[in-house]
Amino acid sequence: METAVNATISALVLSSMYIVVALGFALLLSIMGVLNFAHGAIYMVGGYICYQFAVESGLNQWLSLLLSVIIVGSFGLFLEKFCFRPFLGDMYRTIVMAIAIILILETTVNVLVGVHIRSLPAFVPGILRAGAISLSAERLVTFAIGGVLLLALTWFIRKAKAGQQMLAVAQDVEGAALQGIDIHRISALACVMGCGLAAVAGSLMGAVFELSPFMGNYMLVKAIQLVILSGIGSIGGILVAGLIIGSIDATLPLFTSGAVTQAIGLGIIIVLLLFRPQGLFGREVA
Amino acid sequence: MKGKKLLVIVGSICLISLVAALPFAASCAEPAPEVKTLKIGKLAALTGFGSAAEALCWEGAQVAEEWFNEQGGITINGQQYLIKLVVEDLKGTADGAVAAANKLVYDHKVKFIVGSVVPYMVAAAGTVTEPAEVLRSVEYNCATPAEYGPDTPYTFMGNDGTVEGNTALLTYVTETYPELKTTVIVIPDDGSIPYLGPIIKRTAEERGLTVLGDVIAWTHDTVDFTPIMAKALALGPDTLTLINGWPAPVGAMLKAAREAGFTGPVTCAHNPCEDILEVAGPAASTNYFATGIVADSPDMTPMIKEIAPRFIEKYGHALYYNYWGFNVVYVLVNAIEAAQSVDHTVVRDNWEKMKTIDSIYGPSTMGGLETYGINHTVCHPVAIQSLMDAQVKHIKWVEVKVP
Repeated sequence: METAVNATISALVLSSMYIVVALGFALLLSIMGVLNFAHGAIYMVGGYICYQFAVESGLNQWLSLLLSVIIVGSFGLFLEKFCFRPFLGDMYRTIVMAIAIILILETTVNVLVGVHIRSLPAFVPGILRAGAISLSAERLVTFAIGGVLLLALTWFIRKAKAGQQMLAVAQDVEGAALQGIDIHRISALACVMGCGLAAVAGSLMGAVFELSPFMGNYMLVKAIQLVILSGIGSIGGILVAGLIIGSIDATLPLFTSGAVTQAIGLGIIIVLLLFRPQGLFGREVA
Repeated sequence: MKGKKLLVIVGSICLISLVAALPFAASCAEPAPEVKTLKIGKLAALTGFGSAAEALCWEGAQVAEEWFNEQGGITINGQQYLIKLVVEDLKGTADGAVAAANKLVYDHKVKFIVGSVVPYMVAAAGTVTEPAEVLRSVEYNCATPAEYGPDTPYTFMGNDGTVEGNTALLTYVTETYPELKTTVIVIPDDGSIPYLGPIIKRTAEERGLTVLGDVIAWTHDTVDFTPIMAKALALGPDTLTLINGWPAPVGAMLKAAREAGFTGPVTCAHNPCEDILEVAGPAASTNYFATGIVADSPDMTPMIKEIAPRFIEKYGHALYYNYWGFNVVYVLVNAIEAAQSVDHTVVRDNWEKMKTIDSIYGPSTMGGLETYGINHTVCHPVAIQSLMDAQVKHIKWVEVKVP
């Protein structure tokens, strides 16, 4: 019983972590149609920048998180203008560009920071216990932040003017341009938001787990799984997809060995996609 | 007057002849002996998987090279040799390991190699070095036959491997805490479980611990260890025996175990406390035991006290894996000098019969014939350290003799 309860809580927390990581990736893919494989590397850089401010410079950790979001978000402007905009519509060149960004960022961090283990201190230290249930405050905060970000992003897309413009661009770029929407401005905004979300995720995960120059690779795979399962174009679907994948990853290891868990998890996703290839909430492409 | 003139002429001729003969006299003197170079290959994952440790091993090896050469190198049958290390990057993959080994063996033509650590890379490099009969002093092994055993007659274990380190740790923990009766064994799912599982289980049982359940496995790409620890703790052990892994996953497991409310001892050889503290955080970093070097402890060996400041001066740190990298070069070069030969087969034949060999951890013996099927393990003393309330402390040295 204790194990079941703890597994449920673990599933919810893990799901929220995956959702936080996947939001930025999903935003760029939905709005700009860009498969930003560098999302994992950007997430990693966000974590290290937060570490630099919080641990090396001694700033308040929440302030360090904010600074990391600002810096990495600003990097998104550079990315959109010089890395993605010239190749919009050309998926292969965009992918090559993303891979180049991954290599540059990972190698730079590896050389500058080195191979030593690092970890951010907990944003909120302490463990909450209620009977047989125990949960770190850190994970609870991550869960809460993930939920708030998801709600905020969903509200922004549906209600805010810029969000509605993003939807319009996602549906039909030419039509949106004809309506007077500045495509480049909207794309830049999406990129800034995507990178900012990656920085939040990297900083939070750097405290829950640890920092390494290659930490983004695993989370990138999870982000892609979430986006494929939820369906391209669906931000809200990220919630359901995150819950499915987080639950699989949190509960299967209790019954099987690690390698089998990965295989079963991917197998479930494949089976779901066989019945619904556009994802759970995606739109069918004619 | 005539006689005087004759004397001056003869004297001048003699003087000129003497001066002219001097260069020839010098060249006829015995020439100074030429100092030769003993090239030793170094395999290390400088990038990719495993680089967190293996790059530090490479640092240690370089300090060993400098240390030996400052002593004048080694002397083999009157011939002086300076050590020259040549490194190739394994790139964290088996393919990279094969490529690196090929370069060392066939491009650089080395007959002695040190490194590496990660089992699949050690095994992969062995597919090149063994047929070429290149003598290797590896930093680690996980008891799989592909890495180290009768099929690798030119491979020696320069450092304590999984079995040796965890034997020392289990010996200390069970002697110090006799109230501990049960444990759960957790091992990475990297192919070593069929070999390590029975050995570690037997080692634990010989020391009075009952092993609960089967070995719990985890993959190297696991990020969240909460489910793994939940599975282990559901069996109700007094202590957790973590085998292998790197500081990142081991620290994450310690953190997850403490967050789940487990307060018992957690042990893991070769994952030093200062790294675990960094990952697990101060709150979770207690009641953890590992093998590792606390350089400023007065109980350290003279060699460790000598080389620790060198690491700090050169690299700004003296970390556990630095000592690994230094030691495998140290024992190999000592073995070469003991054999008084630079022939790799002669060195091998002599090394496996040596009664004692010096390591940086102290006097060591050769062992491993019963455990691995080959008598190529340098059994050296192992330093036990503890992490209590986020404080790292050296506890004691434990002698390990692997049969």
